[in-house]
Amino acid sequence: MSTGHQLLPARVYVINALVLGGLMLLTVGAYYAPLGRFEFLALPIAMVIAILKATFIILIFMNVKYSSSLTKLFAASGFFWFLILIAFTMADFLLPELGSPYLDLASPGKSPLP
Amino acid sequence: MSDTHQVVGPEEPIVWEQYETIEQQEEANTFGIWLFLAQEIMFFGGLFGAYAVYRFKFPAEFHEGSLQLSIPWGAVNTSVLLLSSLTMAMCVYHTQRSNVKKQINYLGATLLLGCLFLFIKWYFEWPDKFAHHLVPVLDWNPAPGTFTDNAHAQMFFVLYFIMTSMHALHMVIGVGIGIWLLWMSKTKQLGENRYLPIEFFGFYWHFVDVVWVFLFPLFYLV
Repeated sequence: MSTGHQLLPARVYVINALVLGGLMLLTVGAYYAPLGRFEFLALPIAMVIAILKATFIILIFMNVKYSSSLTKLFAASGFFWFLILIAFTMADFLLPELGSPYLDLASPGKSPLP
Repeated sequence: MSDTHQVVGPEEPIVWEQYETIEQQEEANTFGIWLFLAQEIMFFGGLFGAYAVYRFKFPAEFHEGSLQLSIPWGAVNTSVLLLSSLTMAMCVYHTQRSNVKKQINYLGATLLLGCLFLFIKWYFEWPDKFAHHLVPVLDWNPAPGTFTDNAHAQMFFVLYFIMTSMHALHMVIGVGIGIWLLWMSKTKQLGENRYLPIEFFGFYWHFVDVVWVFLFPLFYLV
């Protein structure tokens, strides 16, 4: 009669929600924490915590942890696609001139045009 | 199963014509909903990509812009959505066990929390932006000295309004679908042998929550 789907006890969901609440407090706390010389780490820290939260939501609330490998692959591939988008877009901004005739380190200021 | 356990919905799982087993059908359906969620990732991904570019270009204005947003309200909204994810998961839990009353209660709670989120945005956060004339196109006139460069800061608010509006639109659509599922629950169509509609609505709801989990630090905590 049961469809064979994995049924989780309720406490798993409650604990997961509490963990997410804790991570949310951590997010706000990390924002106000004095980082001093490591101010540049503020964004990476915030993103790591956000990715952790998203992982917990996806694995537990969306049941991916207990799903088939095909589902896991598909869930991961969507976010992997997003990673490619961000990586290549930011590469265009962080490394704009790599491989271009305008990047002539030996003679700076020299125009590549005749 | 105890004698007092009432099965709600179909007496046994209904396998559609093109499938051999219920497991195969569920696998295919799950695959389908994840295809839809992958499309949603592409939808929001483009917006997040635009955010990444402009934040990289105008870091100072993005910080100044985020100071205009209310972190307490953002934190409250985040908590509301996290709680709604829990009530959604509990609704699926009870549907899988044919507890109709609790299923309806938790689904109702999820939708109410979603409406609370929208209410906070609509009644507290967005009017505040209008009051300070920080709405691009409609009412852009920030007080002098608020931002290093008004044009750059405008990009922060363009992205803020577009991304939170798209997110809010997804919430509104979610509440609409949820009301339909509420009706399905009340008419006892969903139970332990037919709970995928509720489960997949839960996936959609959790995904919208994941989007907000990223929106909150990227806009409010710059």
